[in-house]
Parts: sequence; structure tokens; C-alpha cells
Amino acid sequence: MVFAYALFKTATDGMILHRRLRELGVKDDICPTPRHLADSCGISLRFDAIAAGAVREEAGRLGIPIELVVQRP
Amino acid sequence: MADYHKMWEGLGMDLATHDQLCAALPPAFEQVFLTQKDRPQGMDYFNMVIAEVHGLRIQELLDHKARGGKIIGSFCIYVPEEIVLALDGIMVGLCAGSEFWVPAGEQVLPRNLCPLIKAGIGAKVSRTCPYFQSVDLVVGENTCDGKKKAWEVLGDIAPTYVMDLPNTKTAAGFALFRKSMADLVAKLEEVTGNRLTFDGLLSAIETVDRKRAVLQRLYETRKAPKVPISGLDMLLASQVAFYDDASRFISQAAALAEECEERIKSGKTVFPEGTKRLLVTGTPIVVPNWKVHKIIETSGAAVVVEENCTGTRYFESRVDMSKASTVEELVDAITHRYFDRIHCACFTPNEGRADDVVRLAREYRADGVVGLNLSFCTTYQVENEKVRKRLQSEGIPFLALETDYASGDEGQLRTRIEAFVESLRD
Repeated sequence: MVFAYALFKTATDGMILHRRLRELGVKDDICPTPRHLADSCGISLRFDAIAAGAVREEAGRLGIPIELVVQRP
Repeated sequence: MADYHKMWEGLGMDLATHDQLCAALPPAFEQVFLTQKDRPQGMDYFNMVIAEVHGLRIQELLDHKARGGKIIGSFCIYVPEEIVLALDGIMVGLCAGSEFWVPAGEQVLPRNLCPLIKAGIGAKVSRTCPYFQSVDLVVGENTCDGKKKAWEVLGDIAPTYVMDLPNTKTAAGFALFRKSMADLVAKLEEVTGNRLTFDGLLSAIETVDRKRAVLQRLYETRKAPKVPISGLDMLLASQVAFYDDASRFISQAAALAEECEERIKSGKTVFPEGTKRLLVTGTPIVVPNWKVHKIIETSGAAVVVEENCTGTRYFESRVDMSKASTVEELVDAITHRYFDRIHCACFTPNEGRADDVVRLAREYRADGVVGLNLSFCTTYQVENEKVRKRLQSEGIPFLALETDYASGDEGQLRTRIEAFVESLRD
């Protein structure tokens, strides 16, 4: 599986989006942000890259700024 | 992404080396936890806590200090959290579970020493643990020779206070422990600038006992024939209990317990049929040490209970306040709670531990027991023989393992664990 990560400005943003994705049935996991994607510690959401469009759309609907990164194998 | 670099810089951390530590956690976490199936949704909170382990919680501690509160670090469950809390302190279990810190520890300690001690001291020497950098006082204890001497080294680089603990469960031993409690109260009053009051201590006892009760409730769900939560996830929740905000932890752990109880009702389990059930006993398994649980739970077995300082010893007993009407009587009650029921191998004799292991093995329907001890831990390794003989007399299979935090022996451990699990099959 190719994973994508959503990075957030705050942990609260990440938890809000995670709960919404769960309601929509989009499978994702809360995880520490891989260090090569960001300079600091914090939460990310990891999910199948196929769902990237849906994640971006829902984040936009909620007004949550995210950075989406696809982890190439 | 929130940038915590300024916060870490303000704590005097070695940022470059800390970055190396932070790089190791995300892939380790994904490989250990996110490869599991059907994790309870309640684990989301604990995932978040680990993701923010050097971020949000540190900010909370610093906010507490800015309001005049103190942060007290500890390495041992004999240090009474109730007294710290009653004096408006926050107690945090300090980091000591990663191989990353061991080389720094070996700069000031001998190589043939417990890895937990080396990692703990190494975290401070390397200035890569923001918890260590945040504490106003480390409360140590002379439970074992290694710690007893290591505090002398730590005392040169961090404010350290050492509790004098007894070696025997006798009237004289209790009297020593009670005096140590009184001395600790005096020291913490001096550090915090607060006085211990009856109402404050009563409230603190109730809070800490509620934390113990919710951990007990979570553990109880693992007695079910169809286990609703993995040993790895329960280990993570237990490890978080040592440094998270008590009230928030109680609330989140209660939600997790409720979800596990619902899973039991619906028959949902995280392990396939035929998975063998194991009790792990021995030395503490502190964050981020997940090594042996991971091997066990990918070798056809489930860890259903831990008889150690990060398991049942942490929460099984409560403070009996029924006869207390003064501060002194509350401190008596607290002392009894710690002295009477925590059966650590630093005491001799320690028959209560073997009794606990047998009792828990029966309660949690364990098919076998794994004695998991850190390298160079004399007390627990010598006590292994007593535990082995007792389990043999009870007809309970036993596997003794000794390891540290390094990954080099994972293959050997897996071979031995797989062979043990295979031997448990009918």
C-alpha cells in the first residue's frame, strides 16, 4: 500500500479531521509525523494514498489547513 | 505543524541530537502499533499522546511551572504521586526505555549496568529529554545498588533527592519507610512552597486512586476468553499513565475500558482463535520499550497481563483512608499502601510476588508465564529461580528471558518465544 500523510498546524485540527474521516468511513491512523516530512514533532494522519482527494476535500470543508504528502515506496 | 524548537531551546536541549531521537520514533511507532488489526478506537487518544510526547505535554508542564507549580520526576512506583499532587506538583515518570540514550549513560556509568538506569541517566546527560529538562526535582530511591549509586552521578547534573527505602517487610522496615515519607513531605513542601493539608491530600489520594481503578478496569477486560485489546496497546496506555494529566487520562482510559467491555459483549477480539495467553512478569517496561511485547504478539501469543511495575504493581492496591482523620494518618495510610502491597524484588524475602504471579496467572487464564528481566538486574534475575520453582509446583509453564533495549537479540528472542508458545499447544 502507498501511504499518504496529512500534516497539521495543531493537534486539535488533526483530531477533528480524524473524527470526521471516521464518520465518513475513510480509514486513517493517528501517528507521529515522520521526521523527514516536518522539522518538529506532532500528529499526522496516515491513510491509503487513494483517499488523498477525499481527505483534502473534507479538510477544506472543515476549514482545516493541511499539507498532504504521498510516501512513494 | 506546530514548531516546538523554541520551547526545546528554552529548556537547554541539544537540538541536533534530539532531532535524531525524534527521527526514530515515527517509523518505530508505525511498525509496532499500526500493523495491528482492529485496534479499539479509544487508542486514538494514546496515539495522539505519543505523537505529541515531546510537544503538547511539555507545553502543559511549562504552563504549570509558569503558574508557580513544580514538576517532580521519578523512576519508581514507590515514590508517592499522591503527595506530589497534594502539593500542587505534577509527577512525571522520566524517560528510560530507549537504546538511544544508553551510549550517553555509558559515558558516566559502567557498561555492565541495568539499561533502564543507563538510559535514564543518558537522557539527562545528552539533554535530549524535555521531561528531564523540565523537572524541578528528581526523586530517586535506593531500591537497588545500581540506582543507589547512579543518583550520586545524577546529583552532579540535576537537582536530586533520594528516598531511603527499606529492604525488608518488617515493623522496622515500615518505620523506615514511614520516616522516609515524612522526610519527602518536608522536602517537597520546601520545593513547592506549599503545605500539605488534609483536604488537599484527601483529594489527591482520590484522584490517584481513580487512575488506579480505571487501569484495573481496563486490565479486567483482558481476562475475557476473547481478548478485546492487545497487550501492546494496553502497555502503551499504561506507559502514558505515568506522565499524562491524571484527570484527562482517567477520562480517556474509562472510554477505552467501556469500548473494550462492549467488545467483550459482542465477542469482538483482536487475536485469532487458538492464540495462547501469556503473563509477563519482571522488570518494568517503560516508554518507548515495546520490543518483547511485539515479538510475543507476532509469535502466536497474546500478553494478557503484566505483573511488573508498569503493570499490576502500579495500580492493584488502593489507599485505605477509612481510619484517617489527620494529615499524619493519611500519610500512614499512603505508606501502608506502598509498603504492604507492592512486591518488588528489592525486598527480601519477597514471597508475595510469587503469590501474585500465580494468582494473576489463574485470574487471567494464562497458558504460561514469561519472566522478562533487564540485563544486569541482579534482584529480579536472582528472584527468577524462586518464581520458576513456585510456577513449576503449580504446573504453570515458565520461560525466563533476559534482554536490554538493543535490537540485536530479537531473532534469538523470537526463536525462544515461538518454541515456548509451541510447547503450550495441546
